[in-house]
Amino acid sequence: MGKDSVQKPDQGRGRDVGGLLAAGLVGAIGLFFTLGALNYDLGTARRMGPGYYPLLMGAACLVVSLLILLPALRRPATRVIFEAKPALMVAAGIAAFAVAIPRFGLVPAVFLAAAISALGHEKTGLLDTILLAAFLSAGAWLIFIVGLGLPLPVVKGLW
Amino acid sequence: MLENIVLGFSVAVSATNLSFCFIGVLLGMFIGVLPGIGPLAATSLLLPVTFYLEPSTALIMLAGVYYGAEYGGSTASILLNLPGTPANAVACLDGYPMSKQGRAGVALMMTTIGSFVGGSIGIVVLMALTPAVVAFAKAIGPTDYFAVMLFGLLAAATIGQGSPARGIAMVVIGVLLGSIGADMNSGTIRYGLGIPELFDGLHLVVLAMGLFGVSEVIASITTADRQAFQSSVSLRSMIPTRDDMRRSVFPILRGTAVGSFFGPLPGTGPSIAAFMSYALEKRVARDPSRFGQGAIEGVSAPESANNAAAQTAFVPTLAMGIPGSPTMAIMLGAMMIHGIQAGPLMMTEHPDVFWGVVASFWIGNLMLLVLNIPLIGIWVRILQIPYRLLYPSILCLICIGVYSTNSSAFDVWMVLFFGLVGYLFKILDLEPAPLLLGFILGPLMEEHLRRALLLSRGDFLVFFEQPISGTLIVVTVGLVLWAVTIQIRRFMDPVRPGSEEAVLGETPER
Repeated sequence: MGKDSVQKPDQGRGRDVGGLLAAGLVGAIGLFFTLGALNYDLGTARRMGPGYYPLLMGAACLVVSLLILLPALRRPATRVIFEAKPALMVAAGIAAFAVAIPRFGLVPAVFLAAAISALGHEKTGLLDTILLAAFLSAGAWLIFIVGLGLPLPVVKGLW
Repeated sequence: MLENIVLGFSVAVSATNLSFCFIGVLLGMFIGVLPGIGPLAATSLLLPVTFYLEPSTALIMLAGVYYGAEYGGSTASILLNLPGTPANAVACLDGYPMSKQGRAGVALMMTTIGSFVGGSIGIVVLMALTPAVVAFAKAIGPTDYFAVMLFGLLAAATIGQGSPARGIAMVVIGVLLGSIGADMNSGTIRYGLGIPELFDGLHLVVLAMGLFGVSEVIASITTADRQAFQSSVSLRSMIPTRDDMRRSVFPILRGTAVGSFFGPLPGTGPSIAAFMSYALEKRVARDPSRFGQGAIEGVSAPESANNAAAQTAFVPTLAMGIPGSPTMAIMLGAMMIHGIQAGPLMMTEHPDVFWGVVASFWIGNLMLLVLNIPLIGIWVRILQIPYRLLYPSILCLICIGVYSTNSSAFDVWMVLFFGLVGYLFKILDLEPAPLLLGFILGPLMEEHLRRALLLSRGDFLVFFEQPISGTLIVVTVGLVLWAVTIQIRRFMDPVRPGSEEAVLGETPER
């Protein structure tokens, strides 16, 4: 997206963790799909089976992971910055929505999702969170139920 | 041609289509103004909303979102030096200095005018080129089609920002994700993992929202602390001087030409067009030193290029069914969801949709022009909302949007999963956008490969024997080799930044 990468160069000794992890992740995905493809009928070139194409692409994925690995082996160190708190709170917020909406309806789900994810930002206090969540759940009701007429349960148990 | 245009406008000016075009442009601009969210994320976000609409209305609205978001990104660039997307980064170069000189209004106005001219001429190019490309597409067979798609895919992966090898990785992963689900030919369920919801494959909306929406939000929470734009922009301050107008005439025309050239090419799009246009203007300017200090040409030309490229990018998408960029992939995906097969047959089978959409481009561009003038104040005010209040709204929008497509909580869990995966990709410098392109093109490519091999009785050499396919395959292999060489070179000499990165504007590999 044009933002600076969250990796920072480090002049000291150490490894290009970012590159190694990237290679590892891509390789793992490639391995998963390649091995999986072997479960299906490969067929022949003339009559491609369901496994043919995924096998081809999975193998390509493995090759590319090696390509990424190469420079990472020699590169100077980088640090990979993983922001745990935002990631966790956003994930928890979405999880709350997924759990809440079939059981409790739209309004509670939006309230929970907004509140929990808002807490992921350092500067957001409790009052801000509650106000925002209330505003968003009311807005969601207005826009999606009243305005667009989506067939979603509003608050289970009430209507 | 004339009856087609008439048909198009008759479709486009229906009350429904007009209102949804308006809504699309408005929402697009609004979302495009938000930091970190560009046309790609904006179109993904609003995709679920279009499910309840007719195909032509849906496409008209999505197209409106698309160029609305392109435009919104420029506004953020000029006022805050915060590009919404790489394409708008160019607007910062001279737009932000102009803003600091108190000429923000003029910069925004010239952006609007430049975008309108660029877009309008781009539409003309679109209308002229499409029939020719359609004729071409009808003449080629699966072998060539596969080669074109492969080339487009790898061009998009390697050209542009980020290391080419990582780009290829993402594209391949996208293709692999696309193979999940029931195989059309044999009915075998691939990679279903015993989960019934996966039997139909991953849903485009889920993938896009997770990889773009959620991961972007997670990444931006800590980085999007920005200075608010303090002063307001009055209507009067937006009027450009005669000098500004005079200086911008040729840059706008040149920018449009650059944009119309790069738009249809796979792998390139509005971003590259904008950068190239800026470079061109600087090269031909009488006094290049003005660039970077607030030269009006540095704003109007790239914006024309940007918008012209955005319009002409539809040429391969509509005429051949081959998206040249991830955003076009979303458009194509949207069409598929509505049961429209984009490609050479679209003009004959769904001429009302095709020409209706093209006509709506005119209307949308006009709306952009008209809407911007009164709404600048609102955009400025939006930019002043702290991000910590905005992002929960974005997340809720994503959740509601995804849930409402199938009333499936599983889809929401998938968004969570892909959101985390997408965030992981981001911090490892793996750009998620090419993945989407691979996801859409992958299954299409498989079909063409299958047909090509069937016809050639399993002979792979056929790809080299046919002239069009042969040339493209050679070029594609060239691109891949280039990526490989870069990686090998970095392996051999890890410390010195390669000169290729400087040319592409990439940050040197660490």
